[in-house]
Amino acid sequence: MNCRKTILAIATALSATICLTGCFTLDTADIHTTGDEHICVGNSGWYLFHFIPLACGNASEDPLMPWVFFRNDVTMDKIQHRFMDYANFYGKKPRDMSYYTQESVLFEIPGTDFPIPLPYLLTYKEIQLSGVMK
Amino acid sequence: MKWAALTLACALLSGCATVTVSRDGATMVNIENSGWYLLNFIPLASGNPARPNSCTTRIFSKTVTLENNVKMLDKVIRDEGAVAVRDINSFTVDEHVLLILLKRHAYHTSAQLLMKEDMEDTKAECISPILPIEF
Repeated sequence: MNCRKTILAIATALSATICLTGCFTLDTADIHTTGDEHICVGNSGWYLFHFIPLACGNASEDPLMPWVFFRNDVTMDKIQHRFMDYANFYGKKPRDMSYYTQESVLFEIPGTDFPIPLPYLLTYKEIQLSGVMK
Repeated sequence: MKWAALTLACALLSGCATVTVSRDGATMVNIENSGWYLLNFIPLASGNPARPNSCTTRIFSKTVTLENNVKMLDKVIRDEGAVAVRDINSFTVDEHVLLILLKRHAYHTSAQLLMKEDMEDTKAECISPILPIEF
């Protein structure tokens, strides 16, 4: 009975992690000294065996939900599309564009500090694009 | 002993806003602001962007934002007397403790500041000139 409860707790914690840590963000801030605008677009998500998307932030322009399941939105194309959409909407010219990507292929066993000793079973990916709008 | 443990816990969970300027060959600025969140969303403690490089922390307020990093960058630009700025870029780093129980969120911003003497061999389209102070 205890074992079943533990498995249920781990499954709940895993689901919450997957849902809450996959997130699309679009941050902007005005640089007052130059009159430019700084923008940082990012998305992250979870994958099974490194390739099968489980859950990630929703990069659609009109999202119904903040997350999407079994669809890969953590791609350079989708991030850059949202970045350029923003630039075109405000009629600005992008500059200083740079990508930052991060991957974690060893998932930690919930409640411990030890990773599952099988790389690529459950992986986390993140892509961020930063730039300046002139 | 209890006070020591409490102080250590507070120190570990406090946020930090730091601004570093390197002037070796080029004037580069690196800004970092970090903070701790409970269950991914509830801010516990984060760096104080109004007083970077000091041991001050803002409790229960979300200061780890791009806007605050850019405000710190604006201040450095004015303080250093730069005439233009280029290669501004930012990224975030998240670290989780016990899945979503605790999260450390950090925002990094870096840029190159251009002084008067750097302007001779710099193409105008690659830079953002600093506006006069009244703007």
